[in-house]
Amino acid sequence: MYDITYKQFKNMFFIVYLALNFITFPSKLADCVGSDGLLCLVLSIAIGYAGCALTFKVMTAYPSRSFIEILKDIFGKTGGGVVLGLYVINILHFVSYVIRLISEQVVVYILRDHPLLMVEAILFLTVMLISLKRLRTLGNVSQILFRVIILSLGLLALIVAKTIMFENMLPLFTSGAKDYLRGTAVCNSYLFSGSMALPFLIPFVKNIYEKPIYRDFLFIALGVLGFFALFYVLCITILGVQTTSELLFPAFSIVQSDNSRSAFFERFEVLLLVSVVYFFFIYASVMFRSLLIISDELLPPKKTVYAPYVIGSVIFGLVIFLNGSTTGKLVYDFFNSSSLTSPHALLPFVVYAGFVLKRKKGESFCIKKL
Amino acid sequence: MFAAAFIATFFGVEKTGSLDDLNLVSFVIMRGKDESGLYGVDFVSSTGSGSDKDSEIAYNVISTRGKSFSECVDEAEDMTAKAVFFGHMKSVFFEESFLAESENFKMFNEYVSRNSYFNFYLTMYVLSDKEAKLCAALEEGEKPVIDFVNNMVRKFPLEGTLTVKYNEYITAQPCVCLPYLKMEESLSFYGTAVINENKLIRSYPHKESKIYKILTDSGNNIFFNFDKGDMHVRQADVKIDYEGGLKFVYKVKLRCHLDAYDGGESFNGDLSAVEKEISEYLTEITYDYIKSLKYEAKSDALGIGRYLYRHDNGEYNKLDMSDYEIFEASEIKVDYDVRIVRNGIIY
Repeated sequence: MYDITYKQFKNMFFIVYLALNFITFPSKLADCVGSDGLLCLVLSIAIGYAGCALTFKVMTAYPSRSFIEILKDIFGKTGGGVVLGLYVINILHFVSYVIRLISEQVVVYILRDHPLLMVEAILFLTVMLISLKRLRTLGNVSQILFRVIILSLGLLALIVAKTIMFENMLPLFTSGAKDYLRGTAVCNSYLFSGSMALPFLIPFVKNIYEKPIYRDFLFIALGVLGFFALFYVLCITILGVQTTSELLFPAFSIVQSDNSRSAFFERFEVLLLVSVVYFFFIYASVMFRSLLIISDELLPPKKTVYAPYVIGSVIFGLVIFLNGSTTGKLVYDFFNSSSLTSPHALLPFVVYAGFVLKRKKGESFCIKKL
Repeated sequence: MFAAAFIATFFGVEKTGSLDDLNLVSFVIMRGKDESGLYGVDFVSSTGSGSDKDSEIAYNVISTRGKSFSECVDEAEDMTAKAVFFGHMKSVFFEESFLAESENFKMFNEYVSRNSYFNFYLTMYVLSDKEAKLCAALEEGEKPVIDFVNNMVRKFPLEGTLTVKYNEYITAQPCVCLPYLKMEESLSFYGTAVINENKLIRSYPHKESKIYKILTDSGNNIFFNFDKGDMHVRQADVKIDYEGGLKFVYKVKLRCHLDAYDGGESFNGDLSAVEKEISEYLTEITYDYIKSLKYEAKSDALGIGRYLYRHDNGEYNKLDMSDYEIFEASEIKVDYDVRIVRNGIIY
């Protein structure tokens, strides 16, 4: 029954939480609040962690059931279907968004003469191949890559640290409440989007309910906060607020250095690029795998064999849609400007609220503890 | 998708070139518009390999003209049938004529922020070379010029000289000083050039440039000659105190080596008297420099306005003045604390 160990699960989700928007968020945050973005990051992480903790609470109350069954129990068949549909829509959106984002990066930095769609196709094909393997393969890959990513990000931070000018962080606390709220909303739009896959994967983790999951995920959240805060501060202190907000991938710009001491690496940004590609594969594979888990449970056994192809085609259709200059821009703008009530941030809270209401009514069938 | 993957890989491999297909630019020289309104850009690439340290280093120059930097890049690619690669570029030299108009730098800046291969740690220099003698000297292989350029481009610039990186320049806007080079018989440092809103205002010779470096960069290994001797600053620590009412105090601690000193017959070996003498000398030239910046250059090159904006934002907003207006209205005191930590020949 169990596919991955608790340690693999933790490493996997650390990468998943770091993955989306790691390279673009400093630009958006600097645009909203200048150098005051650390507070927004703390707020976003707090909201993200609260979402994870509430998901765990609900899952712990139904230890032997899948998330789809829990949704049915809490909201009924139709209500549960609607909430599940929202989860699926968000996962589809995030997978297509991350494919578009990473492909753009690859086309800008490596394969400059290649059509975007081709790169997207190759990357997504690889994601599908990873996802169709056992979940343990993904767990093992995460466990290995976790160290590589942490090491390379740490090394990059050390390398660029000598160019920091802390003066660029000043003046602090000059933004208004509205700016802080906007900054938090922008961070929150994508940060912790990996939580969408969390409830679907929990039943596949060995002995998860016996582990200190709240404490461990708090450490994960703090670790994610640390990396986001570090790269945000590096961007602002090295490039200044204005340039950071003007660049598309400011995190890349700060590590672009051709220093004679770097002859071994030739160009430092390769480290970050490799890390980001790892991020992408783990993130997209986890999200895609959660869609397969949902299809396995909902479809009759004979039809599940077609599910990867149907889901894959839908995601690729969305990617093509996002490539359109007008439609893509509309979707980006909508999600970038989404507020604290952006669907994915709100969903764990909605599920928990439904769960509490159900418990008050005393209709739940197997609540063990809360 | 398999088909797409195959096509992309096949054509991708075919298109991927080797290093021989790239023109690895070491630095560029940006020149202002000529009579026909075209910019000049010289792309300079070295022929010596990075790993082959002993090989003779020479420079190839490709001179282009175009309506924009982008057009010049296209022309260079057409001329050499190689792609211009900025990934290993170390420096950019702005010829004086290029910095005559603010718009010119904006055009360059736009290209840099769009091109993913530019790094933000390029060192920047202002170059006085109207007749393009530098390119000729590089192509003819004049060793003194090549050695000087190597120091600027291939190695780390010499200690004690002012270096301004691209990221430092863009975060120190609107006014900043850049190292100023002159190409006459050979290439040499002349001092610093004041750049206000991307426009060259004026240049200062070595003496003032060293004061600028001490006050803004807390630089080390800065050599001074004064009336009675030579000394070099081993370590400089600068702290700015804002006392309110636009009164600023620069507190400068200098740890110096007194290389030589001729105190005359009355000199009794008392170093504290020499320290006082050096302080007075530095204070005098600093005040002259500040006065010149205020009334001749009319530029806030020391970044007083920027300092107030960052450290007392409330007052900065209340004043509603430009950075230069703040600098002009401010009362600046300089308090040098000179300590001689080692001395050479004194008599």
